[in-house]
Amino acid sequence: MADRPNFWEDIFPLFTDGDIACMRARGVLLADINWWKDNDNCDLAINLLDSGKMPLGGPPWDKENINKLRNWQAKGFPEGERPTENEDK
Amino acid sequence: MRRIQLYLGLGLLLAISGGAIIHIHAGPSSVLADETVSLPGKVPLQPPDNNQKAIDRFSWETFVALNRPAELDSAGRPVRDNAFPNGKPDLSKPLDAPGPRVWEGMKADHELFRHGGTQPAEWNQYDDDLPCSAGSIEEKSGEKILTLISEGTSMQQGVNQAMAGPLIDRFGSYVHYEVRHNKPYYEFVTTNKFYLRDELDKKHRWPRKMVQLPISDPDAQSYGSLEIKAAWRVMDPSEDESTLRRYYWTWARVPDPKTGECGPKQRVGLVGLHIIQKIKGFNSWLWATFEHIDNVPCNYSDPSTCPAAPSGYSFNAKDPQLDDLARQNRGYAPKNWTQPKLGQKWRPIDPQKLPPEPVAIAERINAVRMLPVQPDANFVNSEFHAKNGIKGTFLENYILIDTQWPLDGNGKVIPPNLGVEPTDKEYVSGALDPEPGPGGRRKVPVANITMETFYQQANPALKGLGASCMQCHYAAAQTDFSWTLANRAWPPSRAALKPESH
Repeated sequence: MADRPNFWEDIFPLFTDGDIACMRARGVLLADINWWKDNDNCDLAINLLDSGKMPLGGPPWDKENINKLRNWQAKGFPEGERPTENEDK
Repeated sequence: MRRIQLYLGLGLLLAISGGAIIHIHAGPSSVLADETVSLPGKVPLQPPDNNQKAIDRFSWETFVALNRPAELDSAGRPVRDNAFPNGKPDLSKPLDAPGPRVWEGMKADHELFRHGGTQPAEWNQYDDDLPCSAGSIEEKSGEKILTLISEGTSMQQGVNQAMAGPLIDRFGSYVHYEVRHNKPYYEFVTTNKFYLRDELDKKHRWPRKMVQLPISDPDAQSYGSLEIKAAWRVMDPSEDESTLRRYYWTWARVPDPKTGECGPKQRVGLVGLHIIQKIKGFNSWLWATFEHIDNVPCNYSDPSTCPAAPSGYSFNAKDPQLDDLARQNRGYAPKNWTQPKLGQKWRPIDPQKLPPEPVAIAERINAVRMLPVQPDANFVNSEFHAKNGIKGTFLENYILIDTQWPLDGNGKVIPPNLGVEPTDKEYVSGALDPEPGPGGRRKVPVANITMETFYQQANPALKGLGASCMQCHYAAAQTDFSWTLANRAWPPSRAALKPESH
């Protein structure tokens, strides 16, 4: 049983593909677990969410979800199990 | 063809001999009277040849078929018939007859992606749900409501452009957008319950395999997926009948993003239309985009060569200084700018913070067309504008800007790794060598002034999104290039909801 929260089950699903594409174009790699593991990057993302600057023009995150992100950071960024491309076949 | 013309002539004589002189338009005859290009009654199924002119003609034929007057039901709504996956035309009417168009019978995005993830109605049905609170409105189903509101998340894209902010016209009104889908797209999403994010993600969220929306099969006479995105501007009360006659216009409700009420009916004119189709041999779709000629001057280098816009341009003030500023800023400038500033106005904004209409003159957008309409599209525009049935009608005021298509359309689409920015090479390979595109013959952008006002050239703040239909939508290749599916499945944002509520 994977630790919770973990990236693939709890964090990645909070971001839409639109969020990811928009921010990736600005160097913020929301779908890359290794980018998150740098605490500075994680702090940056949390600040953007907390300040309402992300998602741009979209609905702000519920505070509990931002806390989930903090909790995940505090636990050392557990990754969980990456889905496989052929999982549904 | 000659026999049909005779029948029509006979019909005209019979109508006159009946005592009253009835004006009979020869709409259906135009379907058959073509010699070099056709004005088809339905969207063509046979894929075009792989050359730009043939593809642009295909785009125009599709535009004509979709912009025919729709057959209406007893409530005055476009008929929804299972035998007509792209909407049902009324071929007894001329092309420019008033009333809803064929494509307006396709399903609006708010009918497919309903609040709370409610199951959508059958393709051939209208439902009574409105995407806004009704207030005092009496009619319900089938009304045109120009919103992409997803209530509960406060997400409202009805005025925001894709990854950008709103376009404000010369009267200070916001341009509004709507998205519609044909039956193959609609039924694929409903059958698989992909209007629910959990269902969509379970099977297709990256890094799982990508969605495969239906593609046409001419041998089986079956259409592929087709999506429309339309841009409308509110016709100002000061605009007279001669201006209205230059547009396809209709009545629509424009919800108030602050109150959520549907708002009164207003006259809106069609200023832009994207038509994208998934066609055999074009696995990464065909991307056609049309505009009204009164949007902006046809090119910025010498506007005097452009067709006259008798009532003025919708998004250009004919001010050389403003045009200069716009040229230095990827094609747009608010009127209050005295020097070029990069950055701010392209950003999407929270609809709750929209300034009220009419927006101050200083904030209205002055746009210029950075890239003139492409030569092949210009040629084909002339061909179609000269046709009986189009010449002299409002349809003559619409132009194809360009059609983007894959040079390697039979290949296998490879969606990008969401974790990293795709390189040009990965985009070219993954999206099957887009034309125009980095690997194609024409290395030029593709943009519609009304929908990509701020992306006529690549935005340096958003590297990788590029400045074309296919490059932006390649970022949504996981959902088969459909941003609508990626963005609108319920809930649009899990993160905006409390964790236990979804």
